[in-house]
Amino acid sequence: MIWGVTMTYKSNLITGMILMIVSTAYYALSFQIEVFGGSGATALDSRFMPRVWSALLFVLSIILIIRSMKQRKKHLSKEDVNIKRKRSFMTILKENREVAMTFIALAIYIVGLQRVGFLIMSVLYLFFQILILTNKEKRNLLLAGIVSIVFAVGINYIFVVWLRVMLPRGIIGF
Amino acid sequence: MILEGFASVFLDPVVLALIAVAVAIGIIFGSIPGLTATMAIVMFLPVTYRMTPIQGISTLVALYIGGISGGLVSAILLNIPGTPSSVATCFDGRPMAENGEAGKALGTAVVFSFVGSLVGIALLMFISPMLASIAIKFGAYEYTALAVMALSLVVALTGRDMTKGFVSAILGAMLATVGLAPIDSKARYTFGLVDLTAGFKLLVLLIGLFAITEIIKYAESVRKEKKLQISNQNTEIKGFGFSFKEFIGQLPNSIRSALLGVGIGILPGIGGAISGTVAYTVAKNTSKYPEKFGTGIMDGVVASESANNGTIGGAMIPLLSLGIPGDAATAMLLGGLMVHNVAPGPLIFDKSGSIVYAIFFAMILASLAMLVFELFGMKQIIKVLKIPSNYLLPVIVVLTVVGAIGDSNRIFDVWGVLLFGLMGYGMIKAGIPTIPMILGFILGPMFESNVRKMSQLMNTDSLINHPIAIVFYIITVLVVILSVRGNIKEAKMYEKMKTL
Repeated sequence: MIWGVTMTYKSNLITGMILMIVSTAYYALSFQIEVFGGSGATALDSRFMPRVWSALLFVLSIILIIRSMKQRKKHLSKEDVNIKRKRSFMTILKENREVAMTFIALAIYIVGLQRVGFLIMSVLYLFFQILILTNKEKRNLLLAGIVSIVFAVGINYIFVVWLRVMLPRGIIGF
Repeated sequence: MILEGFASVFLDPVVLALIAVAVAIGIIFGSIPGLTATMAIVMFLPVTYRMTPIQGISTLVALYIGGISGGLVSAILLNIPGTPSSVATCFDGRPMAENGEAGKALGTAVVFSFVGSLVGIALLMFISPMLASIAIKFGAYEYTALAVMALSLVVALTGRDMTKGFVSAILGAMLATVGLAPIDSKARYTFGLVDLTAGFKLLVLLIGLFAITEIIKYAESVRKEKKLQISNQNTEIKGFGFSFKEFIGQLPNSIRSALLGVGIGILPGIGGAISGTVAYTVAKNTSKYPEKFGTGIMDGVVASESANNGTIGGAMIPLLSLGIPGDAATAMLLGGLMVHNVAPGPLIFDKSGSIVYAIFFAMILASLAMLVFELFGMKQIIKVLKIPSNYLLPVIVVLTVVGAIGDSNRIFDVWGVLLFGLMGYGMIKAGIPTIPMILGFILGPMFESNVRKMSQLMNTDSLINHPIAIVFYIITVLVVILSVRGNIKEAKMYEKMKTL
């Protein structure tokens, strides 16, 4: 893992806090659920389970936070050999740029599906995703291009023509 | 019903051809590290949309069987398990290959995979109708208890961190509340969006959690170059690669391992990876020559491969008769069954009996195809190992997008895939296992609707009248006590190891 061992107490803390926020928000939103009160209504209404889940998650998030506190104590009490490297958000992002770019490529792909259509967007997505996943020295634009076109056209043909799956066609019509 | 199932598989050339092709594809997926049986099913699910239920489900089952057994190839030749199921195959398979016995190792692994599969399928055919006939009498009390028990097992069995396993299961249950509530159909957590009223689909969650995270994991490693070293020893399998005497000698080991595999497969939340390792350990501990394990003996390969293939049959038992999948791959199969309007559960033998028997026969046929392909097509399979993942993974993503859209023609579902992919990535980073989430997603609604029905019955019917439910609760309590104790012990051990 890229974040290393010294991060565990922090990652538990962050996870615990995020889960705490999630469970609280989820609980708060359960008030918006309408309750059915007519005849045949069950003793436990439709708000019941969501509240149980959020209560459980809340307890678990506290366990995680307490655990991270304990880990932190140990972590700080030991003479730490690994000097903590302060890393800004930007450096983390830079170290994981392939991951970030993959998510961005996917998002653009999905946005484009409806407007531009499956075939063209698939060619573009395949091309860029292959480049993202290939080490700089090994990039081969021609091969990536050929693979993208062949597979996008092939998949489009198999599903649209052969298997009649409805795929978004976009403004150009394919 | 049985005959009908038999005929629909063996007398339909299309089904036969589909099974053969699907097994071959499954083996390829299994053998390429990073691609798993689950991925094979995700990817080819959209291809089955237009097929008849029997064609489609046979294809998916064949992909599953091929995918699990394909892992042995890279375990032996690359020392990297092609799928998590083959982890333990590396332990002795690789040393065998290094000792110049690659052919024998492959032959052993293939043949005993087949034996393991058959044991698993036999037990599946035997146990699942029985289990279904018991489960058919289940009411709200029993289902509530079953859901609690299954969830506690999942949390206890997946990963060493129970808190995080539990977090994952709860998050899954929360995701499942989006949409219309059971019983009174009140909209929950839909934020007024029409697309959300139907809730999230299992398929969408699975694609996000297992396919998208796979490409992300690869993206993380782009700049860390790793060289795959394919063992260039003689990989030719002569006959089966071993003698008949050796086969008979290994049979008890194989059967025991396969039975272990089936047992582990039945339990929710753990699959082939664990069963292979457990069977390997058991084989080692009961062996007359435990010191030889790890140096390249057949026994280790036999144990691991018999067990992980036995798990297939085992995992199908709760899937078919209770509707509860045992691992990620069977959760995918559940998605596939739902696409084809087959509802797994105790009624499946009544409602879709011929399909169930067709599944059994398709599994037997797929195992046979696996045996034949891997014995005679090993050279071709080894060539496929060289396909670069950086080209393959993007193609898989496009296919999963087709799968997500094609199921109900909504772009919305693809956004769901991306969202769950992000979530899965976050979970991996936080050390939260993803499999409990799937089980939580499936068991949460089952628990809720039954708990609410139960709340109505409480006045007239008490828990005392439901001995099966009580047994489930007792098991739950035992599981929790045992696993909490085990967890504390393990944590202490870990701390000791760290301070040493």
